[in-house]
Amino acid sequence: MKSEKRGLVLPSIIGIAHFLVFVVIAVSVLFYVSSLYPELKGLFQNTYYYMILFGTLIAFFATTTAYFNKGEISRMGSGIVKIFCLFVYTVSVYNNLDFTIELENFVANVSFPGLLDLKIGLLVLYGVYFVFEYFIYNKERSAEPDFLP
Amino acid sequence: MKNSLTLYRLFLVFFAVGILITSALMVIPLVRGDVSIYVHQEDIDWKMEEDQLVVGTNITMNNSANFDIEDIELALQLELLDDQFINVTEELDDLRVGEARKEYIRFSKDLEGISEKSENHLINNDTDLNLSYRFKGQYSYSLMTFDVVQSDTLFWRRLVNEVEYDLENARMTEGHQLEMPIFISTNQNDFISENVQLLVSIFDEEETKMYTEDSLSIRLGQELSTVLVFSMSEEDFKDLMTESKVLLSRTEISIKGSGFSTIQYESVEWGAPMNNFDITDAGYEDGIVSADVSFINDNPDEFDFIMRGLVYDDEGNVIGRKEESYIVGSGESFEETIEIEIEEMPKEANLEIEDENTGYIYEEVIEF
Repeated sequence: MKSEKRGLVLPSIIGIAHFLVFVVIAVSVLFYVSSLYPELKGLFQNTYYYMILFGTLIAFFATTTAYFNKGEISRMGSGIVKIFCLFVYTVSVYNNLDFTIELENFVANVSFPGLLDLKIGLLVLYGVYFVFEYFIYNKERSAEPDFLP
Repeated sequence: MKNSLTLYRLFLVFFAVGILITSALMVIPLVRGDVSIYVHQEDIDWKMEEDQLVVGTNITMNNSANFDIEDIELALQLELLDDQFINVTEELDDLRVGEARKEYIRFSKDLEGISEKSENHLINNDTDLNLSYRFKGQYSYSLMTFDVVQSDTLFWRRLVNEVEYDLENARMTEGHQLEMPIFISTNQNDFISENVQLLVSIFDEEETKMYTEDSLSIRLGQELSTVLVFSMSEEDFKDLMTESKVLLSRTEISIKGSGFSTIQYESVEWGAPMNNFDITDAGYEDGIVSADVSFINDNPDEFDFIMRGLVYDDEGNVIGRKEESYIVGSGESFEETIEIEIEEMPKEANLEIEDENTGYIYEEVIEF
């Protein structure tokens, strides 16, 4: 079986891209929304922590997933852990989006259950992808002859 | 196989982009205020029809968003005295994309569900009613659900200010009747315009025997001084003429045609004009029929009467007669011996007390 690793450049780019999307851009958007609607500021307090913590983990595991070769169990494991982090990230963000606005004589609860279901469905399918990828590439790699020096 | 995996990955990308677009289509109209449901509180109309409380109001709904709004429920709650006084829910038709409509919503609630405590409080007290209306609904496929509660306070003005009985001026009148002046004052109320009815019943102290009852009707916002007239049987009338006692006045105040009512009790000290009426030493001796008559006038009015004695022989002929007028002041005792001279042997005598005011004749037969 081949054991050569990919270089560090591509995994690093992928990791940075994930960090930009899931931490920098997401937190910036939330800041922007909070500044537009100050009454929602308190609602997003916990969301920032989840976004920074799990966004960083997602970026890290995206890097490790890209580092390992397709067909390796490490890549599949790393990919599934990344999906798990994405799941926690998504659920925590959506839970905080189930917000309640309370004014003097007015209370509004808004939640997005259907949207969350779609997102979880997407993550499950993404997780299945890593399993399929592992079995397909692992089978192919096993069929290739090993060249000894 | 690798191509399948690539296609699968492409599908995931499209799926993710689809979710992003759906999210944007859902949230942006909300932020822009393209979805609105508004209750016209100034139109809230509250009335009672037969055994039901009916609340109606206009609501305006608008959906300029990108998804239908389904399963819309409008719930109305009224709270009084920390009790949920009314809680009704109405399901509304779906609001399609681009649809705007105004409709009149009508809630009805059986009055049986309203506690006596609440009814009593609403009739006799100014109070705040906590009104809240709640909208629930969702976009198609539960993509987004919303639950909005808006609350307000309605001021409820009591229906009845006071009901005052003028017991001191209650008097017995002709035809076995008791007349009692009454004053009632009512308030105008924003929600009810029906008449208030009073049904006043007079019972004995233990509420085991009802002597009589009378009723009156008055529009809300009016005051009325009138006289209740209680008709009663001769036996009951005699009872009240000769025996002072505690009576129980039971007043049922109700809103006409609504079943919305409350009951008030009041004890009444009734003073009989001929309390402790007694005839003693009745007999015939040496051509004279005599009897001692005594009673106390407990009534607040003076008692103006004629005492009449009639003596009969065996064949029913009147063989002796005497008649005299008296006035006994309030609280005074009456003690008098009536003497009638006759020439024949009497069989029986009739003693009559005729009330000059009411025409009522109290009669006792004395056998010899």
